[in-house]
Amino acid sequence: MSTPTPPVVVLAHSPNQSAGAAFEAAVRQAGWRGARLVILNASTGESLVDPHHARPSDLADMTGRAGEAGVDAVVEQPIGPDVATIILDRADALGAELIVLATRHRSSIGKLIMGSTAQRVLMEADAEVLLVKDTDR
Amino acid sequence: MENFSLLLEGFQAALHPVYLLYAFLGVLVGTAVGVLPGIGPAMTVALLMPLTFSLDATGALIMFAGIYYGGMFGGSTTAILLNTPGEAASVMTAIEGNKMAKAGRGAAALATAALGSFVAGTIGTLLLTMLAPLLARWAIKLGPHDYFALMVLAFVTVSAVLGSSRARGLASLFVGLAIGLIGVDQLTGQSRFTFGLPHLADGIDVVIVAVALFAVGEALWVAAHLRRAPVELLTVRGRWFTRDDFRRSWAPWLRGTALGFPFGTIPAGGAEVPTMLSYAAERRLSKHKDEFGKGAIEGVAGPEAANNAAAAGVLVPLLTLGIPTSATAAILLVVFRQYGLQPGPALFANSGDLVWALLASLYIGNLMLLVLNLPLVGLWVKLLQIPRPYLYAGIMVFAALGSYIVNLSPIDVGLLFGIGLLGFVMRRYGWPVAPAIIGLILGPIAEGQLRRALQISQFDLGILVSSPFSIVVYVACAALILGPALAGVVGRSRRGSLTPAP
Amino acid sequence: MSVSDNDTDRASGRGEIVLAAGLVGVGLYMLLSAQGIPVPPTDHGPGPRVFPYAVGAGLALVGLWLVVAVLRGDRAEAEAGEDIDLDTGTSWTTLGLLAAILVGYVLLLEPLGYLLATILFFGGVAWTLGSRNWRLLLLISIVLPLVVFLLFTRGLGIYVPNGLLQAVI
Repeated sequence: MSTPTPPVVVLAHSPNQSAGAAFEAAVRQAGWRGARLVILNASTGESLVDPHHARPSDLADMTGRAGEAGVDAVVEQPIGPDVATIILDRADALGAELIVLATRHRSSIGKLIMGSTAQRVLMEADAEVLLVKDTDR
Repeated sequence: MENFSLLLEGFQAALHPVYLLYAFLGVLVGTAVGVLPGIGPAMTVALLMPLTFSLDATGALIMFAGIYYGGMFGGSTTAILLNTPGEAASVMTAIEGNKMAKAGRGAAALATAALGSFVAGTIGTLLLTMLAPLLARWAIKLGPHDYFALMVLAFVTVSAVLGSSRARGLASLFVGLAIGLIGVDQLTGQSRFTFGLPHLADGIDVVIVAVALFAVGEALWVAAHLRRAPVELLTVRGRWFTRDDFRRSWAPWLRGTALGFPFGTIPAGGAEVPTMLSYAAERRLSKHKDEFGKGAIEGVAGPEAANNAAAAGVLVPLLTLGIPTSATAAILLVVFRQYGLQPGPALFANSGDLVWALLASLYIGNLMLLVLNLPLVGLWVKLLQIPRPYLYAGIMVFAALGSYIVNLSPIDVGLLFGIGLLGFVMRRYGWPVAPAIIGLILGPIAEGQLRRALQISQFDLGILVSSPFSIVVYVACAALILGPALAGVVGRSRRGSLTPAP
Repeated sequence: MSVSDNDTDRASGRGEIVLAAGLVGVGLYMLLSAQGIPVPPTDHGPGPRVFPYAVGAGLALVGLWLVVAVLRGDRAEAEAGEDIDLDTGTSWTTLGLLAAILVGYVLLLEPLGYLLATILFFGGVAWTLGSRNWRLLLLISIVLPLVVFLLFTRGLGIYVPNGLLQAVI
């Protein structure tokens, strides 16, 4: 395990949630660890217009801000039926050290129907997981 | 003046609270379904037909007037806010509207589209109100041979003139004509091509074929080619409508109306051609030529007005002659026939109340569209977020229900899916669907008129060209067939090759 | 959304030739069987055979024209749309599954009744089109057909037979 490549921090990014706080935490973590940041914007591709699918301009803005903080960031926008699986698989493949996720408050009906991406990642990931709460509201 | 008082009576009927509610529901549902990705106006009207099965004729037609205009408007909303226009008539709107939205002027683009639709729709409906009774009075003198000539003209334009491939347009037309022959011959009572199946004796219900080709075929086609990456939705930003926007918009609205309405009345496939002409005209006349291609408001105002004026113009031949000039109009004709009404000159005489109530509700629907749409844009945009599995499953469920409740027979649902597969295959090889619908609906009428004409003349084919009117129509047919061919030859020799229309 | 063929078949034109040849076949069949349509002696017009002859001949001729055109390399653009991605080719798995579901729906509509059959139908179609969120899929597949059923039977007063559930709802 003597690879010279820098460690990887994966940010599971979804524009709807408390994305700002999670992004800042991910950049801070990547800075401390001297890690590369992979911004993973996974969406199901189920709707023609998907609010979870980030705009190219916003993603460019994020990599720019990470660069200003001295963190090397790349963006991936994979599409698949299940977001949690995508995050777990990509983190695995990248050999990620840490996965950063945003969580938000959900109603009980929302919990019943939607399941939880965060919950599945937390339970099944091999890497460390950092959950960032919604601090905007 | 007589028309005016009849129209007032129509308003009296249409302003009845229940009919107002139907008009409102029609506009609302029509816009909502028109906004949904992959659903054009023809499919909107076809899909929503079952909703009106329990209404009386007037109520149903009022609702469909709303659905018709609403569906048109829904298409332009998505054309402006998405990168991909839904139907041919919105292509031009999309060019400038999309650029405007990207430049942060999405709200102004939507506003000029909505106001332009209102202006054009109202002027168009006004022209319709004035023209239709005159035309109906004149059309009552037409004989069966004249009608046959008109239908030949409709067949020729829809299949051979529009679209990129004549052979494919004609193939689609003949498929429709062949399906229309199935069932008992109305004049002699002999069954034709029923394969001994009692179920086919009444023919295949036109509703089923229309919904199958438009809705099921489209749903299957989309399902097999789902776009995987989400598209970017532009936000509605900027000032709604400034004085300057108005100054630049009003003339294009009027010019678009002037282009769109006449094109709607002739069998030229509805709104596609006039929107292109309007765009070209605005581009040439604009004082802001440099803005074209970067989001010129004139390029949204003109084509949108042309689109809606054509929608009103289409109703002129539909109501007075019973001739649909676009696929959407063909489906509207089916709606009329569901209620045992035969559009044509006799409609004004026999069901005057209904026609005037319908015309009045067109004004009302137009006003409702304007009042509803701008404030509700946010809601329409939310509809684009419906996950496609549910959207297309829902379309299938609705299509199946519509054909099931006609006779409560699963065989009809089977026919729906079978013909839907045909619609899929046609889309795959680029065969237009509209000619099949026109052939299916007009074919039996054309046959009846032809046979009646020949019965009168006792087999003398000369009757077909016995009136000046029919001669004019056949000359027009010939010009439409030979004109593009000649232009094509000239163009080919000049440019070396023809570029296919987009 | 799995297998795609990149539409080599479309490019080769084989499929369209089969389709066009089918038109020729149907046209010929119409020409032949139109002779069998009885003409009542009372009919003084051109009779019920003329139009079938014309349409049959038209179908056969247009079909032939298309066969020749396709053989000579004429291809039309497949239909585009806002929700369509033509670059990835046709997903035949999706289409095959959908066709099976459609057939199943037609067969089950009467024995199961409208509501049950439609719940299965909606769920099947949505699943085939890629919905994998089980809880949401289950919920919508039950609620939507139920709402549609109640809207039509109770709201619009249209009778829709409900088979197994007739006594329940």
